[in-house]
Amino acid sequence: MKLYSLDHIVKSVLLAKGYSLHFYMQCLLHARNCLRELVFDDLRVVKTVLLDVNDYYSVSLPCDLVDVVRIGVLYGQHVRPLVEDTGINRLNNLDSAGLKVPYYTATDSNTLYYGYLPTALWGGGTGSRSYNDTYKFLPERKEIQLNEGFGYANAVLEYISDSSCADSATAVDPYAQATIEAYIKWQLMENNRTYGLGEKRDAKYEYITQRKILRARKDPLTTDMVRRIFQRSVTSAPK
Amino acid sequence: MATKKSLAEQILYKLQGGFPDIASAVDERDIIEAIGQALNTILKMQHFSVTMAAGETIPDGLMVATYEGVAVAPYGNKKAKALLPAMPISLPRNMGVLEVSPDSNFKCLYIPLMAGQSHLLQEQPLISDLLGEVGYEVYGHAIIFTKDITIDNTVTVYIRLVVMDIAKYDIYTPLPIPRDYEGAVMEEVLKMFVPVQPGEKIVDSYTERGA
Repeated sequence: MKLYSLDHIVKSVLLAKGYSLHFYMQCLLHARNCLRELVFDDLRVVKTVLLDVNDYYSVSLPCDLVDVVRIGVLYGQHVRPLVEDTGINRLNNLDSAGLKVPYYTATDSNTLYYGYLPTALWGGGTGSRSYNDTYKFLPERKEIQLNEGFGYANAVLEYISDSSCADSATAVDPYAQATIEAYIKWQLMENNRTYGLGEKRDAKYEYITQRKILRARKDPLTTDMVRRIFQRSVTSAPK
Repeated sequence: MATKKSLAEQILYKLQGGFPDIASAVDERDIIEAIGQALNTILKMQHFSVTMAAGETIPDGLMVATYEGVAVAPYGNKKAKALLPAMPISLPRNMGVLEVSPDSNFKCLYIPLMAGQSHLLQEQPLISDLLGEVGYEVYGHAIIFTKDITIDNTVTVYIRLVVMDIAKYDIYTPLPIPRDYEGAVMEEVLKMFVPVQPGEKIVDSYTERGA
């Protein structure tokens, strides 16, 4: 698959504008900022990692994670997704030495609710909670807490990255090159006092136009799909 | 093509009205030094008034001096340093230091940074190490590299400066200056030396007065 690097795109802009390498760093910064925005919405780059589950049943989030798409377990060549459970405790359980331990080792018992917790109040149905395929996303801890009945050593995490990993700089979709170049040219004008408001505005509109073209290119929707959506929605009315 | 000697002689002739005097108040060596200064002044004016006015930023190739084998030494914490072989003219974005590259591969250019930008870059994800490239900042007459390039046996670098460094040439070697600069240089140097007057001759010796 053909991919371009940020270096290639930046040098293409420098050549087009007749600039020397003295503008390289500034253009690279703009290119990186544009790539980050495109990765969030348009380029649809979803990264997948296999994370180790630690001894208190949580996984650490990658440093470049912006949003979780899916977390699951390996099942052959498939990934079985887990379900988010809002009832999982956000707090860590600490032992007497201050180390984090799972909650099932806790010796104190909450006798406020005799027997089982009325989980129907929390939408989980009556009876004891024994759903092992659940998790909770905890950004404040930079972790995903899994249910303590989770019996696997690893979890598969699919997430949206902010493109801050090294390989992002050398793996840019060719469709995005024109958009990134337009963004660089706009930002060079925006941060330069010698350009007028009209010129800056024109450059901004050019970037917006290129971004719309990129979205159109990446959008998998075709006329056939639209036609099928209509056709499936057609039902006969009861007579 | 003009040489330092030919330009200096023309200027001396004009200064002394066509009859150069051995006891002239102005020495040819002073004129040659002034030629270098005037050339760089014109070069800078040319860059701002012609090159940048036309929307270009890259200096004309005729204005570039090349220096090979400039020594690099380790410096501070994992950095390297080299001294500029000559002071370039002052241009925006330190463009006076046009290119720096390893001697062994002068097409692999290092990335120029403005003073202090390497520190700002450290906090930027993805580009904090300039995508694996080496950058450099210019402080005074020193170039500080963002990495210690001597580790991979790069002990000399190839530097291109925007300067008309006529000290590199002897007085009979043709200078790489555009033809249209020659007249302008001579006019500038003449203006510098026209106010120089020969010293007053004071008679304070018995033999001068006569016995």
